[in-house]
Amino acid sequence: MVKKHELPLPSEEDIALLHKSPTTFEDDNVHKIYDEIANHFSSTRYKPWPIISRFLQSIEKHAMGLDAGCGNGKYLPLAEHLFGLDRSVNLLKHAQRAGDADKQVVLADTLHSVTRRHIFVGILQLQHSHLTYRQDYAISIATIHHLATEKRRVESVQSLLNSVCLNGGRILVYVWALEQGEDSRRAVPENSTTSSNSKGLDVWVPWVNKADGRVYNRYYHLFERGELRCITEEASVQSKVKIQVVQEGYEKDNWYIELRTHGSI
Amino acid sequence: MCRIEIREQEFNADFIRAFFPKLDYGVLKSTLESLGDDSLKLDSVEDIDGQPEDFLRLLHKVLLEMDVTQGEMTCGNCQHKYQINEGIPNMLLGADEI
Repeated sequence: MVKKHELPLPSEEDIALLHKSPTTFEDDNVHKIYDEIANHFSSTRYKPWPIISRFLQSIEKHAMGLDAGCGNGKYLPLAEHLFGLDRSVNLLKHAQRAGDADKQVVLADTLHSVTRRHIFVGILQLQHSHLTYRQDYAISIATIHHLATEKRRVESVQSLLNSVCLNGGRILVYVWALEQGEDSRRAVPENSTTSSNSKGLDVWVPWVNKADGRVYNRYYHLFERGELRCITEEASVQSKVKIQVVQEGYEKDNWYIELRTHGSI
Repeated sequence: MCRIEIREQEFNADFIRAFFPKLDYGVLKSTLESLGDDSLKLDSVEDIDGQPEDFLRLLHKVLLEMDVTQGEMTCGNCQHKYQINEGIPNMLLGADEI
């Protein structure tokens, strides 16, 4: 039996701050933390998860892809033309040399960058030409559970839908589950109730940093069963991109969904 | 200040041919020129399959091997300047710019 650590819940004041300014809240409780813990965090993130490896192995030759929320870039070496995007510059410094090879990365927001494709001209055309065009595929791994509101989580999926080809573009999204398996070291507080108008649960996930011994509480929105499907369908309606669900399921305490675009609605 | 580094990558003619139709060749050419590089001589390319290997190798070099490690990009629409530091373009916008 694995020793469980119960995850702390945000206070009412925390939630008030979250709603007052989701972007400031994410800056303080996600981005700044990853920049602080990047070295230690990166040293613990090297093992690819099976569903994601299989997805990347199934990508067609010469296809180009975006890893939106690439972190330390552990998936970048698994596909030939996959480039990384993240909010943490310190994690990107690791991603740049993922797999001991030169990788193309960009510091950007998963919500805006890809929908602002038109601005990616000039030098970026040279360096990241792929950014100016629709990708063949995109992955979002353990990323959108750091976004503070449902609206922003939907927008981030819209952004993925807009970043790939309108027909046959492939997307894989992977998020942390509220339903933690028996081997998980984390436990969701038993008496926690989610508010009636939203699904899932907002929690703090502590990180004990090796360098300074400090505990950093990262913000996570844990997804409950069916929630990921629900926000992808909403994103499809909002972005007017028709989607087909290729597969969905649960793997290692996470929910995942694989989509294929199918023209516009 | 602008700094460019060349990082060798394995040449793959098929990839360049497959990628080329997605490219805006004119923008690529003018971008290179803005960096003081006039190695792309053709004004436009109608048929990539009809191009000699030398040309594909040139494209390979400017697309995959040339890395702007320090510099800035100016948005063609709004003139916003985006910095590139240590090979990482910073596309983040301030809260007032979104």
